[in-house]
Amino acid sequence: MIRSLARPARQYGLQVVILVAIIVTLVIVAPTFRGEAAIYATLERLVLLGIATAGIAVTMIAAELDLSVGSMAVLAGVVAVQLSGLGLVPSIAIATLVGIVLGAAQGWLIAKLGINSLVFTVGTLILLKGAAWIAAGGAPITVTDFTITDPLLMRFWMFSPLSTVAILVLVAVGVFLVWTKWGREIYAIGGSRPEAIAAGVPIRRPMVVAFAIAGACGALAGALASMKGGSVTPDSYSNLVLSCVAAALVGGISLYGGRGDMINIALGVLIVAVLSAGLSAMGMQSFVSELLTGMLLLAVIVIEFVIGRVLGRRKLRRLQFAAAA
Amino acid sequence: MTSELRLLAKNVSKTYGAVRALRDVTFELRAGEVMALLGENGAGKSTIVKVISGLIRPDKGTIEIDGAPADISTSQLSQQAGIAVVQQEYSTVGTMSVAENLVLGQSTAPKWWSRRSLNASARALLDRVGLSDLDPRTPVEDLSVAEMQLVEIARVLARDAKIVIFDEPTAALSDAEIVRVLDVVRRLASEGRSIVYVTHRLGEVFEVADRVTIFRNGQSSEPIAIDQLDVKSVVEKIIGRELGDMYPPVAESLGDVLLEVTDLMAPGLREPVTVSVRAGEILGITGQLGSGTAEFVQTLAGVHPKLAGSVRLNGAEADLRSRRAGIKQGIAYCSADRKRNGIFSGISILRNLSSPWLDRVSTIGVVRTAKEADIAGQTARQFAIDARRMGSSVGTLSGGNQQKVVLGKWIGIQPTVLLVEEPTRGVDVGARAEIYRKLRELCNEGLGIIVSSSDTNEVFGLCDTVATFYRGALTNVRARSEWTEPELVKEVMHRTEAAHAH
Amino acid sequence: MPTDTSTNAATTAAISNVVGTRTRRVDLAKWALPVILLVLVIVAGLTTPGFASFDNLRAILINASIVGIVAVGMTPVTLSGNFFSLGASSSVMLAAVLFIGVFGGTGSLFLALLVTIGVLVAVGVAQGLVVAAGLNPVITTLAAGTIIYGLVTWLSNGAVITPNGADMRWIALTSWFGLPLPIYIFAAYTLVTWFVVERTVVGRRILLIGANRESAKISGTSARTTTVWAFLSMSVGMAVAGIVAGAQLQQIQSNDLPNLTMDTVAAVLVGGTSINGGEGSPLRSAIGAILIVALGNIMLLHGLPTGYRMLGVGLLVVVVVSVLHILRKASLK
Repeated sequence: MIRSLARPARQYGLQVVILVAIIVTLVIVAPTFRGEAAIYATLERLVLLGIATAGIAVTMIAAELDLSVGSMAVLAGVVAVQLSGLGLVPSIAIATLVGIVLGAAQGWLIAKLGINSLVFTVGTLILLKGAAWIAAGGAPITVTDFTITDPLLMRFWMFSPLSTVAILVLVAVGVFLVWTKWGREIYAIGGSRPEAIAAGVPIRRPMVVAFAIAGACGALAGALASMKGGSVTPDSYSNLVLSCVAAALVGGISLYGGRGDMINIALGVLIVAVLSAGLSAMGMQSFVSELLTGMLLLAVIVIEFVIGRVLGRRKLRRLQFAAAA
Repeated sequence: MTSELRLLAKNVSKTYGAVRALRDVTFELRAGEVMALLGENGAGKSTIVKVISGLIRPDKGTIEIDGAPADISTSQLSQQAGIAVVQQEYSTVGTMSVAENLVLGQSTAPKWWSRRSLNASARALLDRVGLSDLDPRTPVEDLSVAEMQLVEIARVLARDAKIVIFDEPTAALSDAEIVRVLDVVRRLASEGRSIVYVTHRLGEVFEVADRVTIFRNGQSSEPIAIDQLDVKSVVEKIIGRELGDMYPPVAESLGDVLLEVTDLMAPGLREPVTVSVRAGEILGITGQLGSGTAEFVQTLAGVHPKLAGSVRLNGAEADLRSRRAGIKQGIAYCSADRKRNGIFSGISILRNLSSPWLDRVSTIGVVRTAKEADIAGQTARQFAIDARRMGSSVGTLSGGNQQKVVLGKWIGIQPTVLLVEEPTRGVDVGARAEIYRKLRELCNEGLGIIVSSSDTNEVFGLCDTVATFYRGALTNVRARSEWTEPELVKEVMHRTEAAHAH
Repeated sequence: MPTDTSTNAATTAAISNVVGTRTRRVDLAKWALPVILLVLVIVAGLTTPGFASFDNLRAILINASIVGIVAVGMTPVTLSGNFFSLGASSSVMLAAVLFIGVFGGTGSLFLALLVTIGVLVAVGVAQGLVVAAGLNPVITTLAAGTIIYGLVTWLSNGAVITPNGADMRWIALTSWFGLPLPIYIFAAYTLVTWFVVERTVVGRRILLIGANRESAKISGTSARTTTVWAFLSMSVGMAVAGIVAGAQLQQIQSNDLPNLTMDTVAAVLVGGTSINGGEGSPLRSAIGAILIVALGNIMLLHGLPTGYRMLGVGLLVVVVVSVLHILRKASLK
């Protein structure tokens, strides 16, 4: 029994502890952060942060990193707002499609060249940002007919259409990652690429899929957020990628690939979202939550590192004794 | 007669530049038999295996499977033809579970991976390789090396191949696990599959093989039934080559004891090692993969932890905690895999040569480039490396010249002891002779050298004293004059003593 | 005529003999790339009206100096195989805040320099020690950058820091031969860093651990010490850049310089330093910074708005990085 708990504990334990600690602390310290309002505020943050983090986390699982997610978001936002005349759903759908296509193209090029995605996406980050600038005409743009975006502002209990979509997207990506062959291939090329290739796993397909998902998520997040706010500027979402990487890492997705699932992503996003919503309810400025997130990130990676070292040493000792036996 | 053969490779040749890896080789396999493939490193074993598994295309030759010509020119085609290889390099992803790894990359993998169905099919495969108590949900990185090897084998079983090639499957395994592997091999053969068993371990050959094909110098022998062979005759067929004058004459007299190792224990060694090296002596250490030679040398180099025992250098206890400490005491170390940790690929030859002795040519942290170039130039001349190319990247050199750079860089620290692993791996004949000559010269200047090599011919030809290792223990140390080459080969391939029945 | 040689592990040798000649050609090509780009930009510039004027060229150099200094400073970290610092913006901003704050508060240039460089070196070495212990450099610098930003915002209450009347304009405006001080600082800093990387033992070791960490360890180099030195060097660069930025802007706020990190990384990459480490030079990063600014300048002179400039820079990074990668792969075969 204990053995079967060990693995989930190892994978999510730290994050659950942190989340609970934050919630408890906030409930004590912030009298206005309660009940439905609190959950609603948290869930709303899931839209931008959650969806985009899911996308970038998929590339992290593949042992890559898509830094262009923020630029994808702003480009999609601009596209959605410019096309808002077509209606709410079509404009968002087209913007997301742009993200899928661009993301897939990135993934294909990175796989074909065999290049480090960190370096490649620094370039595409700048490139797509420039594209967003041009598409927006260099200035903030707003939705012409606000009635189109009204449905997004509805609220059912603690959910809104946006947070519902966010949750559905997260569930869909989560299922894909763990239950499908294509999803598991992403884990394989992320976990140990040379071994995966030796085993017969193709490289191109999982890379294209991973980056397409990242592009789609980034675009969807940007389109939804922009439509909700009714406007977008070419400078929007430039800090998004750093927040997403932080959320993913806090949640337990490893930068080295092959580890973590949607529960990790969700936990990471929830931790950051709850912290941000709670601090906001306390009247704190946004930099406070960024500061605390940064410290949390450092704490989490140090703890994970130490745990990894301790476990690694134990394994080495076990292997040594096995060889000598 | 031919139609009884599962596989027939005829007149296969493969040449790399000036080297003929395979010369008009004929290789055959019957259905339901275990064919052992023997031969020294570089004799052609791995090349013919690569041809059969589709990794390389031969320059000439035909392949027939079950009597009909077959195209196995790519690994995909080879797999489709029913050929599977259990390689030495692992093909399991550590972060994923055993069950997932068994399905990974297979064309039969399902689209939906439900844990229950994966675990169920894994269970069946694991039972076949004797891993019945292994939980298929275990991540592969938590397994022991031996369990990983067995999972590799189970992976191949999933493919239901007609021909299964095992490439040195037992190098890292304990006795109990070797028994399991041999069981699997026998069971597969009894199912009508053809097994190619590539190994250096003669004991296993005599236990499991039906016939034996021996490779030597790129040529293959006729397959011989195992009951017509004994250890002595096999060894003779494997070496059968004259020494030639590639090796410089051995030392006439040896100096004082330089390095004294007493009861050294380290991870990977099963028994304490005691041996010594004198000034002017080349001590050769030889043994197969997993025999402990690498661990022994690496412990002396300071890159492998020492668990117990004493190592005295010139009478004083040596500090083996790091390479830096080793260098300070004059212990030079050349690793076996220069690509991985011997050379700096994109960096100039000059800077490769000066990498261990930068402190010697610098004042207050600034490198005196003239002095650096001077010493590096001297080394280059000593090792016959073209000094005009000092500024070019070391990657532009041939394998033999790269190896000379790896050795040469240590001259600058004025070493007392030189530890070398696999000194001529990937080195052509001309450079080999130069390297041997240089090692002997260094020795004559008063160095003590330990050469660890899996090439018994090299050890036999070059060294003054030869020590053999087998399965983690030092088995024999004798002056070169007291060995014959067949004895040496037998010692590393086949220890019959009950010493390893622990 | 193939000789009757012993084939003892000689197959790889024969192959590597053939490789030798090919690699030499590729080595040349790799160095040619930044030069080609520079020539292209010069040609494009010469055909653009207004480009070749002294004022314009000077403006390019001035605009390139801050990013250039940070890029040059970051290069040793990249060369050591530790990618880059994602906290560059915050660190440079911190330096500007410290410099303006201390100079404005005490009027002493010496004290301001001491505090700025001292604090940044301390922060940089701390990150270096963490990375040397084994933590991922991308995450470490990301976390550090976020924390620095948060702390500065908190302590400054998000306010704009000004020098309170203390005169620091001379740092940005003093000119010799028509070129203001920041350009000389940029040039001097590039030269010093180049010297450190090319001619000192520490710099050599940085290249070695970047080229092959394992080989370096076997050759007696301490990967830990060398990593810390690389981060120290980068901190000095960030301090200098912050000082120059502060002097130029005459004020600083915690969320200033938002694009600095990416612009710096772009400059290092366009300059051709390999992200895998061991290959590249601070001089190339300086050229990279100038190239990017020059490209933007040419586009501006042609009347293209910001978006096109960004597009151009992004495309430049993608192309340079891809071409260099292909060349490197070819030389490894």
